[in-house]
Amino acid sequence: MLEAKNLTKKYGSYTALNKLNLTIQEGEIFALLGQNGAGKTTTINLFLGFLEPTEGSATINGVSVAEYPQEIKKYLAYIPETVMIYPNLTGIENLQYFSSLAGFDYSKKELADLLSRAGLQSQAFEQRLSGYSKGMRQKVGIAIAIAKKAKVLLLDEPTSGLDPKASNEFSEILKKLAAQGTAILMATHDIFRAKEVATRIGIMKEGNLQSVINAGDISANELEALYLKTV
Amino acid sequence: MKINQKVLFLETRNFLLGKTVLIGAICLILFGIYGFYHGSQVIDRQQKTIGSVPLVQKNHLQQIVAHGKGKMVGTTAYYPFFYTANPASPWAKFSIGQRDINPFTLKVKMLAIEGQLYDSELTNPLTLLVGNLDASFVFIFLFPLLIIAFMYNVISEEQENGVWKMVLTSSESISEAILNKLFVRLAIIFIISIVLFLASVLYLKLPLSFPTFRIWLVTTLYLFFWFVLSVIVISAGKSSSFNATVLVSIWIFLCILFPGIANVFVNNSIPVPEAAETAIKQREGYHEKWDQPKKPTMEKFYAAYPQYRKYPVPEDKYSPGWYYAMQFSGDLESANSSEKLFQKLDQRQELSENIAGFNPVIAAQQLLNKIANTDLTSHIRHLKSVKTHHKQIREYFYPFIFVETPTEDIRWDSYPAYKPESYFADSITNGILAIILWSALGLVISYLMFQRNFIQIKDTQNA
Repeated sequence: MLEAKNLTKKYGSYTALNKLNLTIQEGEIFALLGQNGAGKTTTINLFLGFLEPTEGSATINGVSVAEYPQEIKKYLAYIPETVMIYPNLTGIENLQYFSSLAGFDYSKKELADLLSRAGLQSQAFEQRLSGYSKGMRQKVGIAIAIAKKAKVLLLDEPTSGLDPKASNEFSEILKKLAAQGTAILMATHDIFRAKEVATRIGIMKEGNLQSVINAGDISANELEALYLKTV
Repeated sequence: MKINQKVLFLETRNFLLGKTVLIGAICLILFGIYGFYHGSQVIDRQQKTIGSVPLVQKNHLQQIVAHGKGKMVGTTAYYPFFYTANPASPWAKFSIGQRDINPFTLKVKMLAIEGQLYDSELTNPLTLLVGNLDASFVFIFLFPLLIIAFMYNVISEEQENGVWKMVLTSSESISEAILNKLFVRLAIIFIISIVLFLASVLYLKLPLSFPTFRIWLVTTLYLFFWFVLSVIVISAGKSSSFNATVLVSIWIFLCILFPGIANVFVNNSIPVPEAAETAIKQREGYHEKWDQPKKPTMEKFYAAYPQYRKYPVPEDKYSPGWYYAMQFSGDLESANSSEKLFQKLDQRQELSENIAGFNPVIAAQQLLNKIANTDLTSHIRHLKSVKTHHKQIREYFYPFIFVETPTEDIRWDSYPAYKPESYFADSITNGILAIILWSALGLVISYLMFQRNFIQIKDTQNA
C-alpha cells in the first residue's frame, strides 16, 4: 500500500532522509521512532507530497506521489501533531467542510455518527473548534480520515501532548482502523505507545532507517534499550 | 469545475465569523456615509449659491440702473456684472472632482474677457489641503484597503497555522479549494460594494439613469482590478506579513506616488506659459491703446463689427465706443495665446488620460469625474460658454453705446440669458478598457503563479 524506494531528501549538503526503503501493507501500523531531526516528519511529508524527493520514489497504492500528487490524495488522510482546522466552525461543520472537499456528501446524522466513531462526545459537536482541547481536535482529525474512507493514514506525532486517557483512546481507534484494512504510518517519540499500537517499529537516526523490529517480538523495555542504543 | 455548495457555504461562514470582515465593512460604511454627507454638503452649497444668482443679478442691475439715471448707456454699462453659473450634474455629489477648485459662478463685465475668466473667489486653502472625502474617494482609495484586508492572508494564514496541510490532503482538487476561497471573498466584496453603491444612490438621490449605471460599472470593474491585484500577490505563495506589506506598498504607489509623479510629468511635458501670457497680452493690448491714436484701434473693431463704422469716434477726446473697442482689442491681441491655452489644457487632459492607461486608479478617478462632469474638460466647456455669453452681452449693448442711448431708455433685463452647458456624456470606453485589460493580464499572471506555486508539487511552506 505504502512504498518508499531509495527515498531521499536533501537540503543543499544536508541530507534529511537517506535512501529509505520501506513497505507498509494494508492493516499494518508502522511506527517511526527517532530523535528530532531524525527524518520522521520528512518521510511523512514526502508521502503527503508536501516535499519533492531529491532521489527515489514514494508510492501509495502503486501511484507515484511525485508524479500524481493530486491522485494520491484520494487514498490518504493526515493527522498532524495538532489537528489545525477552522476555529470559527464547529466540529460537525469542520467535518462537513473537509469531507465535502474530499468529494463526500454526508447528512448531518452521518456526520454526527462519524464524530461518535472517532470518540468525540456528542455535546461537543456543535461547539466551535476554538473551544476544543487537543485531544478533541485529534478526534475530529480521525473523523475526517474515516469520512474520507482513507486507505492510508499518515500521523505525525499524533499523541504528543495528549493525556494518557486520550492517548489510549486514540490508540484504540487506530487499531480499529488498521483492523478495517487501513495502512498507517505514524511518526512518534512515544516508545511505549509505539510498542502498544504498532505492528512494526522503525528506528531512525540522522536520516537513515537504522532498524526495523516486529512489535510482537520485543518488550517495551527491550525496545527502549534498543532505541537508546541506536540514537 | 464543480461548485460544492456545502463547501462554499462553510467557507463563507468561516470567513464571515472572522473579525476582519465585520470591522472592515463597518469602517468602510461609516467612511462611506461621511463621504455621501460631505459630497452632498459641498454640492448643495454650490447649488444654493447658483440658485441665488437670478435674484442677485436682478437686484444688482436695478441698483446699477438707478445709479446710472441721467447718464448714457456707454457709461452705465461699465459697472454691471453679468452672472454665469456652472450647475452641478446630479452625479457631482458622488464625485466632486475639480468643482472645489474651479469657480462654479463667474460674473463678467463688458470689459475684456480673458482676465475675468480666472477672476474667481478664493478657496479656503485648508479645505483644499485636506481634499474631499466624497463617495468616489471611498470607492477609489478606501475600498481597496478593505480588499487588501480581506485578501492578504487568504492562503498564507492557513499555511502559517497548519490548516492548509489539512486542506491539501483533503481536497479532491486544490484548484477548486483555492477558487472557493477566492470566490467567497470576491462575492462578499461585491455585496459590500453593491450595498455601499445603493446607499450612495439613495443618499445622494442619483437618478436611475445611464450615467448612474456607468458609475456602478466603473467602480465595480475598478474593485475587481484590486481583487485581481491581491490575487497576484497571494499567488506568489509568500507569508501573510509579506503579502500585506507588498499590497500596502502597491496601494501607496498606485494611489499616491504614481499620480503625484504623473502630475509633475504632465506639467513639465506640456508647460502652459500662455496662462500668464494671455492675461498680460490682454492687459497690455488694452492699456497701451490709451496712448495710441484711436483710428487703428477702431479699425480693428470695425473689422469685426463694420456696422458701427458710421458712428463718429472723436480722435481728440474720450468716447464710450472707443473705450469698448479698446477692451475688444485687448481680447483680440490675446486671442491667439488664449486659444493656445485651451489647446494646451486639452493636451494635458489627453496626456493624463494616456497615463491613466497605466494606472487604473487614475483611470477610475478620471472616469468618475468625467461621468459627473466635474473634470477639467467640463470646466473648459463652461469657460467657453462664458466667453460666448460675454460676446452676446457686448453685442447686445454695442448699439446702445454707439447711438449714445440714455440709461433709462433701454430694458436692462432683456439681454440674452446665459445658457449653461448641459450634461455632456463623454466616452469612457478607453478608461474602461484600460481597467479591463489590466485585470485580464492580472488574471493570467495569477493563474500561472498559482500553477507554479500551489498546484505543481514543490516543497510546501512549513512542511
